[in-house]
Amino acid sequence: MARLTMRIALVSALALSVAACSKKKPEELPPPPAATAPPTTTETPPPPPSTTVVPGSRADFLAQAGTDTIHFGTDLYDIDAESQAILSKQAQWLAKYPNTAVTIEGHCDERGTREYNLALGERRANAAKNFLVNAGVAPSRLSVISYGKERPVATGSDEESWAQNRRAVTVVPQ
Amino acid sequence: MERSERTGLGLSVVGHIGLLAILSLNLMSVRKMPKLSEPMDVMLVDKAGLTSAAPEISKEAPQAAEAPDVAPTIEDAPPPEPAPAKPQPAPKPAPAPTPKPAPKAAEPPKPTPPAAKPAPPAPPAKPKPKATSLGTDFLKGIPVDKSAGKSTAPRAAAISPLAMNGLAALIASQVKPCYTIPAGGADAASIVSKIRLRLKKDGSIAVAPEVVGNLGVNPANQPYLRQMNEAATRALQRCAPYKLPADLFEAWQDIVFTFRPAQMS
Amino acid sequence: MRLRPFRIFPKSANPSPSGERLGRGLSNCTCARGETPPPAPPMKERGVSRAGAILAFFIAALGLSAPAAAQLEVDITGGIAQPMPIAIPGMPTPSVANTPAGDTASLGQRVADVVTNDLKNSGLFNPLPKSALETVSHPQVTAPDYIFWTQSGAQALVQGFVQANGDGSLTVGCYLYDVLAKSELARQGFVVQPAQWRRAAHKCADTVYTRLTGEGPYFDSRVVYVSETGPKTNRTKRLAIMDQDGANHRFLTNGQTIVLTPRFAPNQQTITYMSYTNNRARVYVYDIGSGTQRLVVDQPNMTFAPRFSPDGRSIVFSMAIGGNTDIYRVAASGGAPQRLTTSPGIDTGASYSPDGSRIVFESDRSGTQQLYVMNADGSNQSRISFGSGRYGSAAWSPRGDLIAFTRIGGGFNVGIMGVDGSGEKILTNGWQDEGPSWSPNGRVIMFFRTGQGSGKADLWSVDLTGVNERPVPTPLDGSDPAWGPLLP
Repeated sequence: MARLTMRIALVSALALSVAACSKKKPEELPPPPAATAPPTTTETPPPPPSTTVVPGSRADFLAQAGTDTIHFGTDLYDIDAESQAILSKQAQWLAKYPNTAVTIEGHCDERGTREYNLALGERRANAAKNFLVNAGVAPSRLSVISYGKERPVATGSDEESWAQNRRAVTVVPQ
Repeated sequence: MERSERTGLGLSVVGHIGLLAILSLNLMSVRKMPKLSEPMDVMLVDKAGLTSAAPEISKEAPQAAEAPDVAPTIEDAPPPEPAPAKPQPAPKPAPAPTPKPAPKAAEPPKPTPPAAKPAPPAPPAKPKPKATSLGTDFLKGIPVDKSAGKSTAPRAAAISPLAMNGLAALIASQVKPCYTIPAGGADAASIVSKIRLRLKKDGSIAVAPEVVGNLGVNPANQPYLRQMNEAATRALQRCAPYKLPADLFEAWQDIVFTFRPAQMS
Repeated sequence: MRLRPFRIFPKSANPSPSGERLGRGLSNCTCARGETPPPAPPMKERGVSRAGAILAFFIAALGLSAPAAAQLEVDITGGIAQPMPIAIPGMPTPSVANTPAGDTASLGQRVADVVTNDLKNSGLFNPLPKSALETVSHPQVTAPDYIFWTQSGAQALVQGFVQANGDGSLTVGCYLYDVLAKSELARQGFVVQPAQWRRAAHKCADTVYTRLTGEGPYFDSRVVYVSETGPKTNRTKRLAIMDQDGANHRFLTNGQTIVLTPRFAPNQQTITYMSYTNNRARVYVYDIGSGTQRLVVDQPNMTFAPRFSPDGRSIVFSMAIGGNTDIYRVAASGGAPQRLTTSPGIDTGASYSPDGSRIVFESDRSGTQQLYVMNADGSNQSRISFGSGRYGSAAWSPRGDLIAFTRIGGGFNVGIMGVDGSGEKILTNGWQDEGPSWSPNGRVIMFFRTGQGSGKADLWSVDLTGVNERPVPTPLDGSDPAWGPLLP
């Protein structure tokens, strides 16, 4: 009888450890059971770095808002649903740190002439600013600048690169 | 075979034979074709003279023409291409009695249009081959004695428009390769230049080309007027001297050119 | 600095055979074809006695009848547009002397080389190769060896000399001859400091060019542009200036901040441009002499795309406020800007007409980028571009008759149209050709061409007829060229 219980306990222990393994990649072998089965294994993400994120910094902003960049369609400057969600999160963060002033950069892809792209970038940046203002951010905290097509992030001359370059970036000081 | 079939077959055979007979024996009349007149040569010309250029036939034998002092130059080794109408060796025996001036006048302009001819292909170092086309008895059958006739009727009453046309075309073909214009802006090519040129008997320039008029000048292309005139003048200077028939000298000694740079010929 | 041109042994322009006078003494025969021409005019009486004239008349009547004395008329149609063969031998010196720019003998050859390059690069001339030229002695400069030059195939001949003056300056003489007519067409002399010898060569080339083409001069001019280097995501952009043939190149800024769209002031002492100094996009004026820049419009908003007015007193520029970009004008010395356009779209890229009375600009108020013209005070705005595609980067020709632009449709092409939008003609065919700028004589357009993928930009130029598209040599990559006016 004890042997059965023992077996049951062993099996349950096994099951538990296997259950713990369920999050891991299927290819990997489950860790050996028993004493050497710590709750975390070598496959889990590394522990967070020893330096913590300064609240109110750019890194904090990126961590909390997710991204500082929204994208636009060709020749367009309207904020689509995905961008709205991103900007909302940015607005929330900005509400938490009311003393932070940010710059919103507007960018274009290379398929426009020099001056027109400067103006279009400003339109995009301004559209992002307007959304943030409507979300409760004080306008005086938001300055706007356009880089036209001068600072692309993607170097290709194809649709994918161009889509990445049509963007507005909310730049929080370091 | 049934009877009706036999009948039918027989009838058709008879019919065919009959038709054959009719056709082969020409028993059917053939419609007469209208008589066609002789085809004649038609030439489209710009100029039509109202004065007849046909010579007046003189009843008496013509005066023997004096051979010119200087034998007109023969084209050296006429290039093989202008095979049609080989230029007759110019010293056609002068006392050739048949007064056929019209064809003669028309003849010299024809062989030369293949414009490759002027100046370059005349290497000066080939005097020999002149006499090879003539045999030793080339005067056979030609009366050498001076003709007794005194008729001084001109060989042609006028230079026919046909000849004038051919002459103008000949001259144009010699000038055109030298006519280059500056690649202009602002419809400079609309400017038409009229240039007068006077030539000497050997085809070289007697008096420098002079501008005698312009057309098509407007405020937009006015700045280019001088240069367009100079381009026309330069064309005439570059392609001189000209190879033109000496016996038509009176016609081409004084020419007014109209340069139309924009128009394609 | 003004060059002092003067005429050497001033003489009136050589009366070339191409006068504009109508025929003298010739009857205006307006005979229709086929009509009998009027009776032959009597032979010219110049030097011929009256008796002789009568005799000649009888002979003419006897031998060949009247029509033969009429002038033969010949039509020549279709001229071939071709670069003119021209000979530019090295320029001798009356006596060899040393100067800070080298000795006068070598300078003579270098001047001829600069003239040769200018004329060749214009696309309208075909200079003879050096092997076809003969050395010209100093006496021959004013007495050309026509026998040699006639057989060389040249139609025009440029000769000159370089001479050191006692006061340290140089005199460069320049003579132009018509080889076929064997006559002199033009002569000019220039006194320069040795360091400016190239300007004398450009002035000589201009003398030749204007006399032989009828166009205005343009070789003695400079170009300001943005010199580019670095990766596509982080280009370093510097203001640079050079002679129109690429010589005397100089950087004006150090590239720490992006600079865009520089344009010369008419007096060429200053340049206006947009810079991202202090992370703000604003219009500045740079003084070439002192090397300093000053802010033109002190506004919190973004200002860009500046241009001087032809009288140099105003700067027209674009300002973006709250997503709307309009065109403004401000005194070049600074002050309150005056607003010229008010449409809710993007209005930018303003360029003055040469008389300063009107401005061409681009606007997307119709939904797409198109070209508009308005009076210099902003009134009477009307659209001029109606072709297929979108239009921007307009530049008004210094001759006033044409507007150059960038047409966007598929790729970018540089083209020209009349000031009312008529006669649109596309001149280039690269992937992205943009930003046209006119030469001072309105004949040549400089622009920049971007490579697909690489994003590398280079300066190019093209003749307004569309021919002679050629790269302009720069030490690094280049964009946003602006051709300055002719130097005095």
